[in-house]
Amino acid sequence: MSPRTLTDELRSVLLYHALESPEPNATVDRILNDTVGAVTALDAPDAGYHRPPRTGRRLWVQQLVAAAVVAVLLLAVAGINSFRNHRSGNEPGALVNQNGADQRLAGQAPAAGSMALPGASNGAQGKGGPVNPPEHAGKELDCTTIPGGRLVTGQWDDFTLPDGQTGYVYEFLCVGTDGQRSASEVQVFRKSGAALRYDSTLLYPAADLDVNFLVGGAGTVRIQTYVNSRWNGYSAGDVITTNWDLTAADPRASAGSGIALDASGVAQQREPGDPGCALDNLVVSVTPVAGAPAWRLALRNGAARACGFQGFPVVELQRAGSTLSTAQPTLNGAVGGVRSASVPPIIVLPPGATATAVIEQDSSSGSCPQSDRLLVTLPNGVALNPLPAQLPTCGLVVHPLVANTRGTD
Amino acid sequence: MDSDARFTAFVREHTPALLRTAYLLTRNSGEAEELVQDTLVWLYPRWAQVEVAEFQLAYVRKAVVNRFLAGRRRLSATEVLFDPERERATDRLVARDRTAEVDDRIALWSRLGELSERQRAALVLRFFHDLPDDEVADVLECRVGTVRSLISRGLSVLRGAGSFVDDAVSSQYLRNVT
Repeated sequence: MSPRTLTDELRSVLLYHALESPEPNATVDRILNDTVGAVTALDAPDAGYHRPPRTGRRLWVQQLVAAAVVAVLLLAVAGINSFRNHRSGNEPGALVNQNGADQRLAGQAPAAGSMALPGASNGAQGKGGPVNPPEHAGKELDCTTIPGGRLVTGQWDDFTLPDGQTGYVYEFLCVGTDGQRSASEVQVFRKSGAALRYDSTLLYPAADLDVNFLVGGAGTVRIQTYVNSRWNGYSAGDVITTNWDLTAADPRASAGSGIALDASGVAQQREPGDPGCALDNLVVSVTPVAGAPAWRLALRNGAARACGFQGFPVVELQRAGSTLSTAQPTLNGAVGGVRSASVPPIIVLPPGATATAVIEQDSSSGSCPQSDRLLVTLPNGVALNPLPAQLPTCGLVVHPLVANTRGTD
Repeated sequence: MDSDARFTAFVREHTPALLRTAYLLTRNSGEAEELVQDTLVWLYPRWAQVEVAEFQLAYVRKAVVNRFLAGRRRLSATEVLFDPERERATDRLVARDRTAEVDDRIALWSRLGELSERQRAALVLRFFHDLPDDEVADVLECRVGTVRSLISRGLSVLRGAGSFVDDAVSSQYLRNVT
């Protein structure tokens, strides 16, 4: 293990927790409503990481109208931003992913079907970084496999090489209109004049990994990923942190067929073969929410090391051994769910921590048979033991797992 | 482009970054949103002053930090924040294996919450925004020596959150308190 210094860890902790900062759209709306009385286009349905409507379809229609109204304003805004001095905007690049749409807004709203590329309108500009969209961006991603899938820029950061050259590491992913996301593709670019030159690809989508965060340094980048499906000795739900040596002629050379797992990885790194969020390590409960037709499915990590989840549990409602219905996955509802993002969060559960998903009835359907047990399959494929529970078997929805006991972010 | 349009552009572009800073200062999403909103609404009628600043984001960030330090965002004495992460970190002071590093990070974040607002602000500006000491001093409106003292005392508290080796940066500050 590499020695850990206090200041390095402090930087890392600050970067990590900055990702938990509130999603900005609602704040932007309130500020503008309290001042210039404008509306924001960040909620526009085609703006990438849009916030899903909280109160049904009516807002969606309003957003479409709003998007048209502000399009002219955005085009005007794009011009001045291109010339703005960003010396004071040197935010760490690893924090861009949660706000991909926000960064693009500084430039322009992407046209339907266009790619949101790291370029003049992205966070990279804030660091004096790339000014032209790199070619090859996310070239391995096929966004057509996701309903409404669009290629967006995720996290990025820069790094420096011994010869003083600057490089950039980007995550690309596809985001769908229903909140789905694809695996990450991570690519390295080198600065070449005012443009970016494609250098190499560190992570391919085929590995089915989601980037949790990436941080560049002197000739290195540290990438923490979430494992979606069994891969290279790791289990779904595992969280891996890897240090990459970008000064090597081929950073992937030591990786063989997969990712290079450097022994100096930190935090949630674990060795292949260790149990992650496995059945035997989880303490599961289903409890009703007072005053609402809703229930909390809670999963406590009883293992000695961290493990992770991302996504929706599959909840089947059974009676007398037959499945009567399956709860419909939705991002949020009246009682809980994810409201601060358009995709389920990546959850890293330290030992003893709890993740919760809310199950709720979003419509009354008259008389409805009750279940006598639930069959729950977690996002990492782990099937829980049947849970005795009496829930209505119609009109049920289930929200993503979030990293607290409330089931809402 | 008129002043409103420029203000709108600034809000759209920089609110995410300001929220990140505010969140690290307040450690609470609702307070972070309120802090950024209050600051920008307060600055709106004074936007001409912002526009003459050499670095507008730095100017507004300074306003956010000062507003935070003014104590308006502090919890009242009757409110108690339950920090489950800290509870877990406290409960797990047992045999250290590789999960100890995870614990250290959790403990580090908890210890950050124990610092004074000025110490935390100094650490966020220095180690999140990578501002040099003199620019941190400008934001906090104090002398450089005071900044180094704030940082050294803050690091000294954080050092107890885990088993860290010395590094040049922290040593430079920690020499001031040992």
